[in-house]
Amino acid sequence: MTDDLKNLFLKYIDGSISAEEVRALEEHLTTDKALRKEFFEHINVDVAIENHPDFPLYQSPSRVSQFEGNRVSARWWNRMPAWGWAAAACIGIVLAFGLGQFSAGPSGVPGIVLRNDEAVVRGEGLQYSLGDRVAFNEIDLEKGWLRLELPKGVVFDIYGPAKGRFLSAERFELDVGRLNIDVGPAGKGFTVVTENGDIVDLGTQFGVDVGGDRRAKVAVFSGEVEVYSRESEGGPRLLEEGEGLSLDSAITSSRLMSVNVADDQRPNRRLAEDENTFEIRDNLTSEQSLRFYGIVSDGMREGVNAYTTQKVVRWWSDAGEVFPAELSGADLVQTFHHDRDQDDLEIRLDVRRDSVVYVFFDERYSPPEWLPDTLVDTGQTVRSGPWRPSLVVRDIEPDENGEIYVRYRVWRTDVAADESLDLGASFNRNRGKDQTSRVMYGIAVKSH
Amino acid sequence: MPNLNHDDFLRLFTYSEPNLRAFIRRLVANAADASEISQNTAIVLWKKFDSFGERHARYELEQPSKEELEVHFSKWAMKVARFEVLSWRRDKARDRHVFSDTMFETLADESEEFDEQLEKQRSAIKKCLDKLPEGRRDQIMEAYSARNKPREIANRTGKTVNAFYQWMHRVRLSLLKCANKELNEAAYL
Repeated sequence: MTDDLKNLFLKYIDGSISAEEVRALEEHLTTDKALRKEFFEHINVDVAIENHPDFPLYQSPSRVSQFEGNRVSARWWNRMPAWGWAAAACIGIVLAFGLGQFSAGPSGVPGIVLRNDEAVVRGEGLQYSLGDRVAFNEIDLEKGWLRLELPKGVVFDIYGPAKGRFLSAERFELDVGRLNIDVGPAGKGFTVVTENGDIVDLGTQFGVDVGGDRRAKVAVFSGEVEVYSRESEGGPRLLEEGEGLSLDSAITSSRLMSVNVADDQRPNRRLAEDENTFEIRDNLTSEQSLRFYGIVSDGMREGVNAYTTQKVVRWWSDAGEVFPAELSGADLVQTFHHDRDQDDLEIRLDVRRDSVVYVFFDERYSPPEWLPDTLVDTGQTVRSGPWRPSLVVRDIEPDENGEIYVRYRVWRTDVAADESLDLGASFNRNRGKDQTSRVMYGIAVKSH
Repeated sequence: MPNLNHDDFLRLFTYSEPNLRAFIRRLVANAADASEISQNTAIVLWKKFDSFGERHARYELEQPSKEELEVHFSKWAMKVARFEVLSWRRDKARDRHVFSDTMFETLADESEEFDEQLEKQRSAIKKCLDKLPEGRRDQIMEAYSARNKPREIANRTGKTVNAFYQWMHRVRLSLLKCANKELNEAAYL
């Protein structure tokens, strides 16, 4: 870090920075996420010092005021940081104690079994129970689901049938089957090795699925990963949140169009891709986009994630209404929110069984022409949220809880088995610039 | 869903308060402004606390555990805090000492993203502070409590303002280094 930047950090944190210096600091921070994290860490030192029980409390007039009508005194307010730290320290001690009991075996990677959902491991005497501390080498899972906590807080989910082995605490070689990895803050660099390439985590949640044909499908649920094709001459391919890639061979790779994602309230309810009652694809090439559509089988209901990104945004009933019964249990397609700006987007749904297709469109804007031409407005509404305060929701007033929700009108159409339905851009070409705040539409499919 | 009362609010707020203050502090340069926003946030949280119970119905948790309540309260409190900071920024619309809206959005998003990690770091920093000899710790506390008056401190200690800033920077770096060591050791235990 240069002296100039160091001084900008210090002055900003101390509140003595000038307007020009704020602009200079912003210029540094704008393009560098790592620097922004460093910036937070510097501020964090101050916060930690201010929260320390020995810190002489700052007695501003606002601190000696009382809560309106509730007689909560400044003394109560001032004591809270110390209590908070006491609680945090206790949690720290409990964690340290728990981890202290955890020792690596003479060989293998130490892990704790956090979840066992009907997991059947091949081999005698290799059944794991919740809380078991085991040194793992090879895992050959006939069926079910195992969740392990590995060193550095890496959470490792493996879904049978699956087979692979730990090469080290930070490398797992996957022959076949599906893994979901949540590396947490300390586990950056965790690598999944497959026949066609390696997937290196850069601080994220991601999934890898290797089929019988040895193709490795990689989907990033948050953060970023680097994908190294085994024999490709190019450098690694960076995948970001909501993007997916299929390592078709050691040299070639292609976009992963859809991913059957686990329902976070029913994590073991996930169909294989070929069990889906429809297929979804769009007109974007691998060069234009690596975004995938997330499919949650029977997953449409209140509280389910609405998009492959925007993790806090979920589907809800409209305020004061019940969730539309006809939508409940439909297969949900999580679209990619950034596609709202893709004005040449064409999505095609190939339906294998007689189905009803639903589209949820931002109520604030007039629909694009393809929507009323193809689907019928049911008159029903749903909401998504809560949204962070941002450009797309700038014209929406927060509700009484201070949260922002977007309302959508529900459109529907029947599609016969083996027929296709084409959907277009979220953008209405004829409406121009007044649509900067709209959100991407949602999709659900209900088969008969 | 149990009825939540004033004691529940105190308990939940006490649990969330350090993180909440840290979150606001990351978005607001001046410690005194951050303190005032924290105070306003606390008032809003208390005023809207009745509606917090209704919000839980949406999580489908009829009998939430203490931990679930704490997590949900913290998330809710952070959202309210973000609005309070936005409101403060609107009041400061003509003040060029704040970041642009785009930068603010980025920092606010990443502040939430890194919150858990930063919380662990603060715990580690506290351990590092506790390990310091009492005299040295007092020196740091005194300097930080009066850091908005660097000239006064510089005059009193016979050093320049720049030297004071450099010293503060060294303190931060050494605490960060110590905290990272603590966190790495914990991860390997």
